Amino acid sequence: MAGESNKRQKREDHRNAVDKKTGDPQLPRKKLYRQRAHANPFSDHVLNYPTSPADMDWTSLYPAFTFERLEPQPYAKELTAVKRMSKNVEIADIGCGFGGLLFALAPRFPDTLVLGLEIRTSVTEFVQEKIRALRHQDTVEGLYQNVACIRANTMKFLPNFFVKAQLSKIFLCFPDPHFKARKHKARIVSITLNSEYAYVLKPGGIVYTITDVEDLHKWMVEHFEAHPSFERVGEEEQEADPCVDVMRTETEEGKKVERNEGVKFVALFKRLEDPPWPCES
Amino acid sequence: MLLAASGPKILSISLHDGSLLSTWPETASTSTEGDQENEEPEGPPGKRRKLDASPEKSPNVTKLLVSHSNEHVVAVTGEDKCVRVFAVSSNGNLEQLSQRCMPKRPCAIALTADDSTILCGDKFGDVYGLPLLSSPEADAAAARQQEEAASKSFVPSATNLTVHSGRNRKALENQLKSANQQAKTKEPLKFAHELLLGHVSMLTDVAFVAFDEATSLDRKPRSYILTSDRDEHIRISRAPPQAHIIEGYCLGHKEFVSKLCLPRPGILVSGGGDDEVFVWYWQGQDPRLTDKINLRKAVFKALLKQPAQGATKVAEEDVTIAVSGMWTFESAARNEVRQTDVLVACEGVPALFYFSTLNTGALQRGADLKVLPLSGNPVDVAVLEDSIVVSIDNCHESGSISVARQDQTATSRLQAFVYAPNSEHDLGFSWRSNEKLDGHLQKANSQPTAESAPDPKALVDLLYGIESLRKRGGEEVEGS
Repeated sequence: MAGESNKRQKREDHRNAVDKKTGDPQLPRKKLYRQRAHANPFSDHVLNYPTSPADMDWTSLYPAFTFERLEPQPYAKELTAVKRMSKNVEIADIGCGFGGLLFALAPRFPDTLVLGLEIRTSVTEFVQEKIRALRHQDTVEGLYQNVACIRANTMKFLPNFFVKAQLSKIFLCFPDPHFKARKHKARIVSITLNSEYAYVLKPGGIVYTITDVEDLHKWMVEHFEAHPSFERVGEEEQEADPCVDVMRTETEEGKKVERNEGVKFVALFKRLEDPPWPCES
Repeated sequence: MLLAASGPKILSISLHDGSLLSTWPETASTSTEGDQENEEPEGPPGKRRKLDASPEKSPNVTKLLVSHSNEHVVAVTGEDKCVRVFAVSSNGNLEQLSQRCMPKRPCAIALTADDSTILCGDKFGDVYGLPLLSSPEADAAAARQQEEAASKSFVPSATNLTVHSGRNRKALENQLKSANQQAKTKEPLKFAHELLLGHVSMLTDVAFVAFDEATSLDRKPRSYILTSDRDEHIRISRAPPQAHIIEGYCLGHKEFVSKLCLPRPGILVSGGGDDEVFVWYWQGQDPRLTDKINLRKAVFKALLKQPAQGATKVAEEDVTIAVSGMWTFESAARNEVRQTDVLVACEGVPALFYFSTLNTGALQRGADLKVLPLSGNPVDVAVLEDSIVVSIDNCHESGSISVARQDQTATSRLQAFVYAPNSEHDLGFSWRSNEKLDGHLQKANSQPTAESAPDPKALVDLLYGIESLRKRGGEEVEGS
């Protein structure tokens, strides 16, 4: 089909384009990275994911937060210089989409590593390109060095990326509502998946949720409240959290809902300490 | 006695004299001469022979599990997704106590150490806890609760304020129109059950592990549920009532994990689509991979020894390994040191491989795995005191999962092996045919399997479902 190949060609050209004068990377244009809003979390996508968190190479994602260290290697006499991370990721935006929240959070938490996880290839590429361009533009203050984006299916592979109690914040912004009852298992929040969020969050860590679908909001509240590892954050504390405002106004979907004069439902949940084992309580 | 599943039937066989004690579902006259009191019920030769051919299309038995007390048997039937519990009497009679149909097909079952709860993992990755013995009161309460939940009036999930595409809006309109005649998507479960945990992947195995004060690292009793899935994960959760707490993961497999085996409570052996079985020291803060035992060379040798007729020769690189079963065996060597061996079966490989969990280091350094060659592909193994009973596929050529066997009578379906000294002066032990037990199994082996020939495709699906867990990779469907 002519239209199809035309579109592909345009996208290709754009992605290879750099500023003619300086050779600098340009900010990517969203319209060339559009992709269907849904992905099936159950299918075997061709995904790259580490076998375990120890196998993940974070240094290429956050080069400004690395240092070199001499370490012994197996079967080698001499020490070899190895790149190590000076910090670990602590904020995860699951389903980051075009990254609106990431780019708003990064300057607000300059010393914290923020990671966006997105299941759609094109959309992930857009965010990666944008990060590259922004880092390039901002060489003085070194902003956006603490933000990165990877393609991942977190419903399956969250524990492959993060160790126990690594994260302090997880954002679930405007997730796919999966309206049909038989699709509810594909929702990003469920009582069984919440155990995995609890596993990667440190005690006191917070899950942020926002949606314009009231039914999904109720579902998320019901499922998090039913999970013994979480407790809903009260209204006062919720509104005092600066991230809530960022989430309301800076996410792409948040802006869209604003334009349509829709309603945004926000709920925060705190990760509680694990109780003692049954025989000890 | 030995319990064996044959298609939709479960047979109980006396290992004392070989008599057939009873069959289920037919309540045929059972001759129970002689006493079997000393025979310990052993099991489960889970999927023995499953021929999908009975005229009324009874569901095939896919799993058998004997309770620790030896008083009950849990069986899973595939097609109707049912978990059935039987009481086993000392004369070998099976009496069905309950049948509970799960929402999704059960893939793995285990029992808690006190036999109170069945852990049932399904194709959609969820693990449910079901009381072994259901009480009518609890079931009625559960049914009531389900009905209440179901009778909640239908509320459309979106409103006009939701951001919509044109098509969404149309769907919403239709939803509102048909709100009243909304059919329930599935029948609610009308028995006591509890959703304990869930993976977003097909669940492949479940194990329950209990430590007492002596074996636990913190000198306190601790119980865990271990679960494995098709996406290379092994998850460690606390046991109920805290099954929502994940303690850790054993990550290292590159392919699906299909079987978990615990020779000792603190040691986990896991196998699947990788060339190696992994040995983990898993209790404590950080599960540690201690050994990897490579099966490739031994599997290749076993396939070479008995090349499947009609099958083209494979190169060693082309051998694919799919661990289909693992069993522990307490081998009492002559020097009285009891050690636990792990027996491994791979799909479509006519042999059992075994190694001692005390000495996996030698295997790492390249020592050969010990092999018990078989005359056909093993389907399941039941472990007795000093012997094992192996159920062997007599429908397919040895070493092949697709080529039908020419002469099905040449190989007995149930074969017994004993772990015995090599000779009077030799300290080594090895497996050899247990002729006495084989004699007792003759009657069971002569039982008819099915009235008519089964559908070959269905038979392969039933007996060999492990390799199909492997991800095919390849095409990426980009949404557009």
